[in-house]
Amino acid sequence: MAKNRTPTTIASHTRVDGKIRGDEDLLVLGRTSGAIEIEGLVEVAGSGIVEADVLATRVVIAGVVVGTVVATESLVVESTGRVVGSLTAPTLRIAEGAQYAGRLEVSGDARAADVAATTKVETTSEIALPTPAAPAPAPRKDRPSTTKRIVVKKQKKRDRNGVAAAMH
Amino acid sequence: MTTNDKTVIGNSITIEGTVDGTDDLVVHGTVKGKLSTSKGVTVAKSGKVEADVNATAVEIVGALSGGIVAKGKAEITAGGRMIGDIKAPRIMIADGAKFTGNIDMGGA
Repeated sequence: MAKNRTPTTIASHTRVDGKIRGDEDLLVLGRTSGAIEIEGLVEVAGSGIVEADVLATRVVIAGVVVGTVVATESLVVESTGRVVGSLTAPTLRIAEGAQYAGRLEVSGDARAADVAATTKVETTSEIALPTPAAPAPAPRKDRPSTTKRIVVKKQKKRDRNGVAAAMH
Repeated sequence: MTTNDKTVIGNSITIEGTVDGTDDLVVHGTVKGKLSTSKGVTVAKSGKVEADVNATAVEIVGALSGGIVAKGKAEITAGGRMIGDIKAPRIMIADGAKFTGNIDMGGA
């Protein structure tokens, strides 16, 4: 991973509409819409709003993401994170308090999934997006693979209290 | 949380689309489309911008292909390259800069 003197940052009062790609870390404090393809870490900070499909090595979501997120290494939704869409990663952690609506796909070892979300989100409006985004693409139901899928229902209760802490 | 009021596009980053807002903007990478901010835009040495730029201050150290509209100063530093028109009340083109285009300083 190319470490840069000047990490790429979308500042909090900046909006990017379009495609962002590259092979260095990206910090989103503002808004982006379109697509993000990064070989490296994509961090959506608490103030960040991403309405885009995200493909990255690692993804940390503390803000809002609407779209399909694929991480090739790891994906973390922090307690302040809100996600509408699908999350795919070999290891996935959703912190307690995080909100999401959508589906999770944990490829590889399903035990790496650590879901402690309260999953309160039922509508995108609760996430208070200024403009409702398009729904996530329909799940591909019939892809045969060793992939294990975990679909968490909206009202599902937390089943592993505080396990998220173990991942820190 | 990080309080950062500067948008930085790193060396290896390419953005195709529009960037707008009210933060300073520094481009080390590539932007194709449109840049617009109420503050300053710097195209750094490694930066390649193919876009119209609308800002208060614009500094070109790298390469810009597109028009500039600046409320304040537009500057092409030595080594900077630009193809396009500049409209700004204050313009500086350094010795060693390359520039092809028209200049409009809005004066009489």
